[in-house]
Amino acid sequence: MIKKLNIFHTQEFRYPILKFPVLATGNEMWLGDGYYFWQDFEFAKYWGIDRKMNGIHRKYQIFVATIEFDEDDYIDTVFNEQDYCNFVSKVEKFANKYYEYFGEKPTLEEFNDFILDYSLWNNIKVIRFQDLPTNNRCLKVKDYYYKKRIQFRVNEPVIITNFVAH
Amino acid sequence: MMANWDKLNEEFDQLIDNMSVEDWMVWAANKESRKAMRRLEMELKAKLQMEKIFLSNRVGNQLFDNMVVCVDLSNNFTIDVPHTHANAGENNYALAA
Repeated sequence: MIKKLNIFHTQEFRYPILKFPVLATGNEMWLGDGYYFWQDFEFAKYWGIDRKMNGIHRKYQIFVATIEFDEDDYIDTVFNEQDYCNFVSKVEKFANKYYEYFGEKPTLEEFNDFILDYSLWNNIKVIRFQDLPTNNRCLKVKDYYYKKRIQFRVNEPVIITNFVAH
Repeated sequence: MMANWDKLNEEFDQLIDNMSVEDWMVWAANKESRKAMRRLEMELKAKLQMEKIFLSNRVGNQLFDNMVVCVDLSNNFTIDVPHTHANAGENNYALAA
């Protein structure tokens, strides 16, 4: 079954306006290289305010992206218990082996590199995951992070079927 | 429907359970160069997809511009052609904005 979602991407304001999301790379990316999106507009907005105001225009821009994918090509670690448990199990199996050979904990990015380097899970095009809780501004209750800060990591550009400024 | 974990688990376990120390060392030594290749491939795919979206929206705009709004005076209503740009109503996420 094909699933279609509209999700948010925040960047520094740029001219010309972005026509496609920016590929996130580097060691700070949770799940490694990919296109990252917010599920909720408010988190996209505060990400812009907190992290995307350093460009020359001193403002951020939010985009709405449409992603379309088969549900078989999707791992939902946020709302699907089986996906969550299986994903955690594989991450920890990898981490245990990695520790055995290198004497230190791996990063989640290294787990992602491992999956991609060995062409494992080739059909998985998008993962939904929960980012670290932060940002009291999104909460109506003081200091209790009852709201999940949900993101999507897309590793196959072809499933991004539309991208427009919000 | 969801990810096929029987298949995903089998793939994963079969590989990781059979990796030797040398396999792990080779993997660690070469992962940065492989990552660079993957980034290039993703960027190229992204360029193609960006063009596809641009053309698709352009065709959509042209079709919209060419559509005729029909006025039926007999029943006193007009037939409107819906806007075809990014439809933020496909799921609730965009409505949260």
